[in-house]
Amino acid sequence: MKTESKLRTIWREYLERSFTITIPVLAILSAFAISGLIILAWGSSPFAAYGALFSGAFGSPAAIATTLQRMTPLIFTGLAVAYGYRGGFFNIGAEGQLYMGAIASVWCAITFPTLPSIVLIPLCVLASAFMGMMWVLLPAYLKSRRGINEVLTTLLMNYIAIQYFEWLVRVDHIQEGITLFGGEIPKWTFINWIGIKDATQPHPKTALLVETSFMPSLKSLFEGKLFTSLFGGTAFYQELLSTPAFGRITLAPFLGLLAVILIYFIMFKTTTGYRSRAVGINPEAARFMGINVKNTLFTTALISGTLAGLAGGMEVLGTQHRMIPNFLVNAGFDGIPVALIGQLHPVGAFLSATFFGALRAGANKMQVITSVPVAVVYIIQSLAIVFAISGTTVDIGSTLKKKRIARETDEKKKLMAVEGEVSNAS
Amino acid sequence: MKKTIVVLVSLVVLAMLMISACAPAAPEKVVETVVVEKEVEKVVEKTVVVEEKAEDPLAAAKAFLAGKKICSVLPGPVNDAGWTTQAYNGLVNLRDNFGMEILYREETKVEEAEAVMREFAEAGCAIIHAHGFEYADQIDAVAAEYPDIQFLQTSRCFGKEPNVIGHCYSTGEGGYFIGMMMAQVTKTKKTAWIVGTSYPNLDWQPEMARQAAKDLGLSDVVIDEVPVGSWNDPAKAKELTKALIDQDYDVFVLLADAGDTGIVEAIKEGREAGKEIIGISWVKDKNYLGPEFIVGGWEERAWKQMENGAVAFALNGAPVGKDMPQGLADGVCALNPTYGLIPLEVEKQVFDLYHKYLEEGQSAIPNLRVRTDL
Repeated sequence: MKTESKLRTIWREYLERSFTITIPVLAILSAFAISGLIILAWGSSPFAAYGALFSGAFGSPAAIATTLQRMTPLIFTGLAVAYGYRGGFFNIGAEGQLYMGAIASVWCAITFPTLPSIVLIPLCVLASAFMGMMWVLLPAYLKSRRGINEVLTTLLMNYIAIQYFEWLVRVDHIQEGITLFGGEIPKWTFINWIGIKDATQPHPKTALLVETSFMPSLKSLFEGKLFTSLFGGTAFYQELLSTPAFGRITLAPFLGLLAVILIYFIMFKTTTGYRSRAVGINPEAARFMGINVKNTLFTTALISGTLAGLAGGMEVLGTQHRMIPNFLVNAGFDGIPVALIGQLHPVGAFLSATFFGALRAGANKMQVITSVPVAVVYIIQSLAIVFAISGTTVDIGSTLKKKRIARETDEKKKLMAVEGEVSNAS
Repeated sequence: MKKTIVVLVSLVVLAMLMISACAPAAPEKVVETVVVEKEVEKVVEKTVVVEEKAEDPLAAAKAFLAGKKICSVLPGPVNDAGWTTQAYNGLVNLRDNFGMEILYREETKVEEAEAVMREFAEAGCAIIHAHGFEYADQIDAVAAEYPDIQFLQTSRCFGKEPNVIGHCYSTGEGGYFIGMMMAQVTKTKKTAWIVGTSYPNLDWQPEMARQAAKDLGLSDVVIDEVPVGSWNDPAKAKELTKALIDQDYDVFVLLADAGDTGIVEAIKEGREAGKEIIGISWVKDKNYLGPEFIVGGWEERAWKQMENGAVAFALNGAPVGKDMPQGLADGVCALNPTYGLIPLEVEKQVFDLYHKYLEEGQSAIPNLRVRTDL
């Protein structure tokens, strides 16, 4: 039997295992190639357009800050969908859970504005996670105990959440000492207590949150005593602090990264994650293995909802600092393609969210510089999803592995036959 | 014989008197013509004077703005036949009449607006315009980073940034005049404003329409405000209007932007079923959508507001921060023709009061409350 060189072995193993990465990468490249033809037909240069797209996503501190801002909610909704899907709970209600999470965060910040940052920020983050979890409770129960399709229930819960928000943002939030728009002194009611509209102005929007509830920015961290004492005298440090974009980069994307690590750990290193994946692959087999499928599905759904709720909290505490109608359209639904392109893996979801965030951030510059419409970005996204899904059906990794095993078996048989002949002859 | 002569002369005199009495008052007509001609001359004179006065600042503004770039953040598609189309018309006006270059981004989500405005700023836009109150925080944030750029925002009645001009309408004027029409045209005493979504400034218009009905002694006329829930959903707007038609509503104000086509379809179907229903335009004249049943209605000229903002910037020679609530007196709103679709006496009454209001102002309509804070 031929012995395989070490280099060849590494290459072969890479080929067999890397298709979970190669497929989405090829899908994205193909999407760019086909969209390039569309740009060409539009009358612009695809290279100029993609150059502007890249520059708009990573070409300056402001561009990077925008990319980080756009990718943060997608990391959480992508994780929510990926974790749910792997566990047999296809959560397409991330949009509604995100809205509820954002409502909870905003309500927390406008109701307890006097709390110090160190208490208020974690409290509001927890509130968003809790409301996201609560919003998936009913679909989780119906799926795990009654077997009702979660696609339908989570989808319908989205509409309820959005309409609830549309109502809530038109109900004055009354607090002690407040004067209504128009000069009236309001009476406290429960409805007004849960309302989130800024009562001092007419438009349907919440008050700007108190600064103590803002997710700390890198700028505010770097302005702390430690960094000032270490780098205070350097020109680079001063320039960094004077860059407005630096103030827009908050801890939110880093918390997103932390969530990726945590979900990876839960998914692949804990029994909870193992059970969840087992139920997702084959509930009957999981039951045969002694796994409580109902409880596992229920837990999976709650974790998924919690992650989606956090997406809303991160957006209002980290970026927008208030809610208005249509404040973050489709970020919940976008979690589905993020998860799919990310091959339903936490790390993949993170990379995919980065890709989506960069596309969104860079699209503006592409349109401004090359007049290529932003819609091209959505074509790229859609094509990437189609190719990525198609790619998984090809499963080249398994095919290669099967061929290798067949070849090795043949060689073994031949070898055994030769050895047999030799022994017979002797 | 003498008697006969006297009778004949008397008859001739009488006949002459009758003929002269029946004849048109020729001398009076001549006098009237003269008066009219004089009036026309006066108007011409006035116009000339106004143009002479306005020519200088506009020429200076045109010279300042020519070649500069105005960039717009738009919430919807430019062909929505309503709100966003108005902004697009504003851009076209500044391009064609002031020599500006234009750039715009349609269907801009709130979370994207800040990044879009930054890209505009980096691309050398001298004026950045955001078309809607929802972009207030974003425009404030970017305006602070780019103090040398003039920012314009529609639907913003208040602000304090030194380089942001806020445009809003003097709200309530249109509601009152359209309310007069609605209350008198309806036969079923059920009318409705179909709006995309409910906002305080929109809510105030039906409020003043109800006031107009009350002033006419027609308090029993129902004037409802019915939100579609979207500015971009003709199908939903159509279903909503059909449901109202089934409940005998017969006058509708079209205030749903892209949804207006759905309202027009519903009215058309209702009329084909034998119901007498009319629509009244809002934002711009939408008679072309249904020449037999859409009244010109109320015009809100966002393009004029944008022009006023750009001119204010040009005349200052540097970015300026101020609030510009404007209405009929400023020429940014107007009552459009009715195309003979409403009774003549109603049209006359509405337009007479309209002209009186233009001349005398608030005192012409004591119960009209114009809001500049919404």
